[in-house]
Amino acid sequence: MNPLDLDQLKGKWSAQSRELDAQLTLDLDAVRRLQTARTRSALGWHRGGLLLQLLAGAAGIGVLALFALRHGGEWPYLLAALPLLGLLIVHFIVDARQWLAVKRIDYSAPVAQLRATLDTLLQRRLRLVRGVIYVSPLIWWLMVMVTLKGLWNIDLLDWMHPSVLPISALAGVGVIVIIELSSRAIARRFPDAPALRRFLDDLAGPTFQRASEHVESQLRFEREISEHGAQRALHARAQQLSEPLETARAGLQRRVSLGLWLASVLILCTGGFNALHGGDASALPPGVLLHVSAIVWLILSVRHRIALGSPSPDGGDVHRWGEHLRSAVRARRVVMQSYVVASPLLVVALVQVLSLAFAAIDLWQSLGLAVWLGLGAIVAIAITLLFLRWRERRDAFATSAVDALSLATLERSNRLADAAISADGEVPRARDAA
Amino acid sequence: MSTTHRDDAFLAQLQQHKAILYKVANAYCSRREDRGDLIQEILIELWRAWPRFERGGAFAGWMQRIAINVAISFFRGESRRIRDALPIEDFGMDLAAADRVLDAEGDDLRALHQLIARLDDVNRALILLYLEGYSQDETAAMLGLSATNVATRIQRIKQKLQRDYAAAEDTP
Repeated sequence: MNPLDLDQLKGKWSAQSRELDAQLTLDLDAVRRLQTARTRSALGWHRGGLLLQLLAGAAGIGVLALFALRHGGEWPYLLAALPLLGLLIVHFIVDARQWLAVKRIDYSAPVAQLRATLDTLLQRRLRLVRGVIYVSPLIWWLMVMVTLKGLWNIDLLDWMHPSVLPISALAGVGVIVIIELSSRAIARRFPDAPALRRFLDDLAGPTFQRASEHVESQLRFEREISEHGAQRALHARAQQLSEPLETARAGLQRRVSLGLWLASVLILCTGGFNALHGGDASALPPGVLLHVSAIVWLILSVRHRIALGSPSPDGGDVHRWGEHLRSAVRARRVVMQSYVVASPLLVVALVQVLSLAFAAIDLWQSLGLAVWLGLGAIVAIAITLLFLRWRERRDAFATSAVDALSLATLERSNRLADAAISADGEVPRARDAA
Repeated sequence: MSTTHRDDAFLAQLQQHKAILYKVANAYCSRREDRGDLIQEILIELWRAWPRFERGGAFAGWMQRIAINVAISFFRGESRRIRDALPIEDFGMDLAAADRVLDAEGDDLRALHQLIARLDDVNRALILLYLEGYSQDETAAMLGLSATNVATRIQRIKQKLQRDYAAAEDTP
């Protein structure tokens, strides 16, 4: 019996490699054609999506122009329609330029040049989306006004208090400042955060999102190789949530989405209430308090929902994903705990709003100042006691109430994040395999 | 260097080391059609990673590393399949001709290929790099292991291969 001598076989192995080299011929142009075919296919989908957007945009411009013509004599509606029309036209122009740019792409150009073109298009698209986000807080009331008037001939101006529009415009400016400051702070603190990147890609559209996710995955892979070696990169690339965790993730995602809808309904209801009671000093403060609380709830829910997104399309770093989820849960828990602390005030505000909305009873006037002062003192004491309790118990404070406020998603998400992080630790490493 | 020159440089390097594609694919896929898919996948990953390749570095080692990384992901069935890729024949790579080279190999090389196919993915990568003539330090750097670990593992693989070979020889 001849033992298998690897050292001897090395020579034969090399000879076989040389023979293989001689037999195999590589059509280099075919490699180029492969890349081009893939890029062309991906961009074909993108161009189709842009075309649909262009058609929708053209229809929107036509409808708005018609609206402006028909209501030319009603200057508030004309003034409301013009900025919307301007925004739609700008959007249409950017889409049209992008469609033309994608159409004109020279697929025979070097790949690096193609990549640079796509990066430029992505940046242009992000600038537009950012612009729309910034303008939205200022124009959403105009959009509601024009939509109601155009579709159902409802004159919102007759229903709304005159103070609503200036107040919402001021609040819009405040929101823009907050968005700008917070986005700068986030970009400064987490310049390469994948969650932030995913969020921006979501804004840029699904076709860009797919492309960007792939690039992100490649970058992560290369980064893992340079920082931790190929073995770690291999495991990072191959990791995916196990089936039970994936099922739990999908279920939680649905539940958080339901919470998003509820928060949106609450925002619309409180917004409607505020619009109808704009000049009423006893209605507006509780209405605004509930409205802002609902908006913060929505923002935190959106972040939670993003964190619950799949680790990556082709398997990502589950450990990092778990940490992001844990961080989103922590932020949401802190805000929910602050709601519990402020619950006496929120309950009073809710009772006042519900009384006004459904029974037209103004509790502020009907109960009188003395009762309100007494109630105010009780609320202040209750809030102080709850706050002290919060400081004492920190994460363990009002866990059931906090979980209920999040539709039982916080604790489950935390457990999911823990499981994802610990599952990563169990992935067999080369050392263990040995 | 212009982008065209960079692309040409990539293709020229690829041309010189194309056997690596087949060898890695052969080590990780038993079915011919899978080998074609894996070669496509490796080519695409190489092309994508090329802008980050350090000029002046060893292309063969870099290519080997990426090919093995892709093969392991592919082998585990976790890599996405390329739906809109061209057929492998369009690369001009006649895999049947390469298969004939393997068919004509001696008993010892055939036995070696069969034994390699039974190893786990990391050990398969180790033995491939060993047979390609990479040093322990180079292998360690490529796989993210320590040089000592590589030496120990290769020693164990050698013993395992000899045991398996002997068992196969003894089986009537």
